[in-house]
Amino acid sequence: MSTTLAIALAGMAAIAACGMLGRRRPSGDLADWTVGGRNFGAATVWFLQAGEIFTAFTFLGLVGLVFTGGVAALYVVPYLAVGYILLFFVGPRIWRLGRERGYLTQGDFLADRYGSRVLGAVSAVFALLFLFPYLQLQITGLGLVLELVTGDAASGAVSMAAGTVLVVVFVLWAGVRGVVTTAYFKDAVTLVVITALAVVVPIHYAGGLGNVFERVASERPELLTLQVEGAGPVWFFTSALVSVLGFGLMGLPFLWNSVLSAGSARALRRNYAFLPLFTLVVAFPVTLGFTAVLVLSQDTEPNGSLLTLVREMLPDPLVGVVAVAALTASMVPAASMAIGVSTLVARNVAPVRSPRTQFWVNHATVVAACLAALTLALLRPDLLANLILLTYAGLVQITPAIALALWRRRPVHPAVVLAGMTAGVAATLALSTLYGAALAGVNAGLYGLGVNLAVVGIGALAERAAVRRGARDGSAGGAREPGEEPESAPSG
Amino acid sequence: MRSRSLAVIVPAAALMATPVLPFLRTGGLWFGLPPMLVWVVLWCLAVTPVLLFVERGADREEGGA
Repeated sequence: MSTTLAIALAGMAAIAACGMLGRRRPSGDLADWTVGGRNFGAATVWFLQAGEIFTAFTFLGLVGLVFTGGVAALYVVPYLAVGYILLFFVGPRIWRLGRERGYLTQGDFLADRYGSRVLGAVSAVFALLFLFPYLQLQITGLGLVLELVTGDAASGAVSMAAGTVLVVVFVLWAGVRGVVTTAYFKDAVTLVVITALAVVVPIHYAGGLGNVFERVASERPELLTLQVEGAGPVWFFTSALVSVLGFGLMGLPFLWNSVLSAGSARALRRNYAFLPLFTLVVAFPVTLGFTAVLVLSQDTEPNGSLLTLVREMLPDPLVGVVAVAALTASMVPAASMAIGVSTLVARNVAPVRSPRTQFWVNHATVVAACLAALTLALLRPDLLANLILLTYAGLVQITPAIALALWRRRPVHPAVVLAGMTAGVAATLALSTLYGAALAGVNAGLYGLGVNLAVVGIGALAERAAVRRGARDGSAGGAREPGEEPESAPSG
Repeated sequence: MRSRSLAVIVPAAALMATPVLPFLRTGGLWFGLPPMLVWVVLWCLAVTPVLLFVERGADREEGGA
């Protein structure tokens, strides 16, 4: 076994050990397992939320995006910063409602606010459809890291299998508390490694960051001016907009765990005020991507460009440390996503009501989802590639329902938002199948969102007309008044 | 908090307008860095003090409630 592989596997074991240490006491309570008793302090929530944004995409994919599209990759900074501005207002509102009504998931919120378990279930199915490929992406990332740093495909398969098993074990054992303790480790390691690389790599390959950008400006100026085909201003703006809405309006189901586990609304607001500073860390992979542009041949696999640079520059033990940082950036988000997937199934999709049964359905789903993602990552790594591109485009279709329900209870009939959501998802999938993730440079999710909002708008007008007609006719069987109380609340 | 909240429009608009601002796409460098990188980093830094300013308003409202 090579030194690099040994260090990487030891690092994975250390991450899992951190996760196991997170467990406080044996718990058969899904609420405690999912949101940790809703009493996490500001620092804990900060690490949890900071950990959610630093995924395999940030570590490997962003460097690859700069390698192919130049400064277009910077769309990530506005999307995260503006997303935090939205979350500063939305997060505390959802936290208050969650505390009062016992929400554990996005589906709980929608089911309760619209008084429709069907809406909660369908939104959960859509969320699972677009979240599962993202979970698989993290597991594929585990394999990619070791394959690239060792140059051995078998090491990649070992890494995927070992990482998945370790994630399942610490997630089942410690739940969200395990994700928190691994997030401490992950945030520290990734911050140190990516900062060091951002300094050392440009110096080693080009004599410093200043030289990197001077050479890019003279040799590849199109990378600094959004003139790369498929990565122009329209792509930048629409990708940022879809991501801002999906992120800032809580369209990503795994964001709900960290918000609902906070101990106070003030802790959330403080975190969202300071998290944009952490967002600046994503500028480091951008500088590494421009170094890769100068050094690597254009046929290099974009997502492997960072690790290719590192492998050719550092001794094996340090390559192993970089690999550990990249592996944590896959394992910890994978753990959050596994919790997001399992709680949606247990709370909103599976027809079970007893808390105890929900707990066991949840745990069985963690195992099933992670093993399914591992199997697909090993056997058919490209099968879900198109859906991965559509994670945000698909999940943004849930955000109109969330935004309307923040404003008031049952703002429109649940059938109206259900129809809008379904039409939006169908339009996004149809367009992306026919034309790819962007049509005329515009993110497919925005077309779907347009269809979604049009259906909701027309439905809301029709509902109001029916209410007025019912009132005029004195009919008791007309449509219910928007804002009427729902019939039931979820437990937990 | 409500009137203070309007302050967030400035950094949000500046960040979202990044791809359409012509002075960021000249091909030159600012302080040796791509102008677009400098622009998003500066406005991202501005978000924190703006949100803390809004947060102070929320604290006062909660304290007075």
